[in-house]
Amino acid sequence: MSKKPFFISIIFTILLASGVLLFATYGNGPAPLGTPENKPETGGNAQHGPGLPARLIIGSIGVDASIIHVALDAKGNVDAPTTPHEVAWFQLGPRPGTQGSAVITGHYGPWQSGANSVFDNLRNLKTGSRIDVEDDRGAVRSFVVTGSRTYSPDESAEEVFNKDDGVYLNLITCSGDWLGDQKTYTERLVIFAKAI
Amino acid sequence: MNTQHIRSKIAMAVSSAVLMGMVPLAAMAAQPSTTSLSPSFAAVGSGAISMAVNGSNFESTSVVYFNGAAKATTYVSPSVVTALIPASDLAASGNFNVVVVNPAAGGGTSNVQVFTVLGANPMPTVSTISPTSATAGGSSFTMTVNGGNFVPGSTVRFNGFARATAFVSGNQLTAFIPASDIAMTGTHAVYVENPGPGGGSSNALLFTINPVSVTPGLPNTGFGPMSQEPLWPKALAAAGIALATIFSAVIIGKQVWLVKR
Repeated sequence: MSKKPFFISIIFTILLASGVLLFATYGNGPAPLGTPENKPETGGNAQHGPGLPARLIIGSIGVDASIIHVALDAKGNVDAPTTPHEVAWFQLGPRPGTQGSAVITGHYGPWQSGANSVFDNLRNLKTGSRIDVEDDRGAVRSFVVTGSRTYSPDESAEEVFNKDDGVYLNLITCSGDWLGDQKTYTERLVIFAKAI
Repeated sequence: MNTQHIRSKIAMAVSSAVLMGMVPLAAMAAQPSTTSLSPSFAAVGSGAISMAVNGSNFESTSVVYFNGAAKATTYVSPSVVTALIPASDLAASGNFNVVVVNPAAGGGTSNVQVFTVLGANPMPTVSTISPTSATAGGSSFTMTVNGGNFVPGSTVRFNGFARATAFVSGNQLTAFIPASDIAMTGTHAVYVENPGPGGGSSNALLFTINPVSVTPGLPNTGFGPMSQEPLWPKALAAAGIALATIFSAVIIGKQVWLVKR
């Protein structure tokens, strides 16, 4: 009796399992802005002001990351991105390019797998470094770094979120030492930038 | 001798003939009666339609009259006839009488149903909306839209999306704005859309979703070395090894089979 059908079925099963695994890993990208059933009407002057931030580009430290949108976590903190390679715009604050302080967060630190985080080199930004944010309509808004500051994790950072006398973009990540028992770092690093 | 007198004489003669069996009763048409039209309305400028008249006592010789003119009629059953209403009858808005006529002997004209040709919808305008702003992350709310030329089919669009709309009057609509529409800051257009024929989109007013006024806590953006390693790289590696093993087995097995042959 031939064993070929047995081998073919084994191969098929493994390929199928691999496909399902890959889909589960990569198939959950950002949700589309409008499903076909509920597609927005583009007429009637529907588009106003900056679009939703979609991409963060910081050439000087090699960052080119997609932007997800987050609100608050259960503790009332700004939520964090879900992967080491993407960044997150705080959607309850201003959009980058509008009056006020827009905030984008990104991860810091290595994974066990060896993967680096998108903001590992954020501390290397200097005053005058350029930051670009592309929105979902393809428009790019540019900012220049004006300064930086570290905070303790529980410190109130009102100037990071509430300064509204200009058009600002503030980037947040972790810094300092890793606290294994708390699964966090000892500090938060904030890069302050303003619109060019 | 007047017309009424002649008619009564004819009726008496027909009745006598029926009574004497000279004219079979089955050959006598009954007076038709109507109960409804389907459809009972159409938009002005529509193409030709087939209109069903529902009722009773319809005959194969029944004729539908639309606005006083006989129309091509198809007998379906004693309770349904259909008539072809040409586009020329739908070119102007208004209400038009529809009757069914059964021919003599007997027969007669039914009661009247009204068919409406709807005029073109006007272009809506928006003058005010309330509220005009919300805070990002807020709850769902009902928006009131004031303006003019609203019709029962008018729809409020928020950021381009049609939202559940209630017609209050020709000057006011209300729309349900779900919390998901104000989950992020931004400025969105609000306008009204009237359906065709005619209709169209109104001018747009802006609705602002303001940032929250509280200061949130700083995020935990650390992926420390103790972070859980994702499973997929290991799973992929295991699948690759398994795949390579199976392929090797197939090749070896094939060589064995070749030798056996």
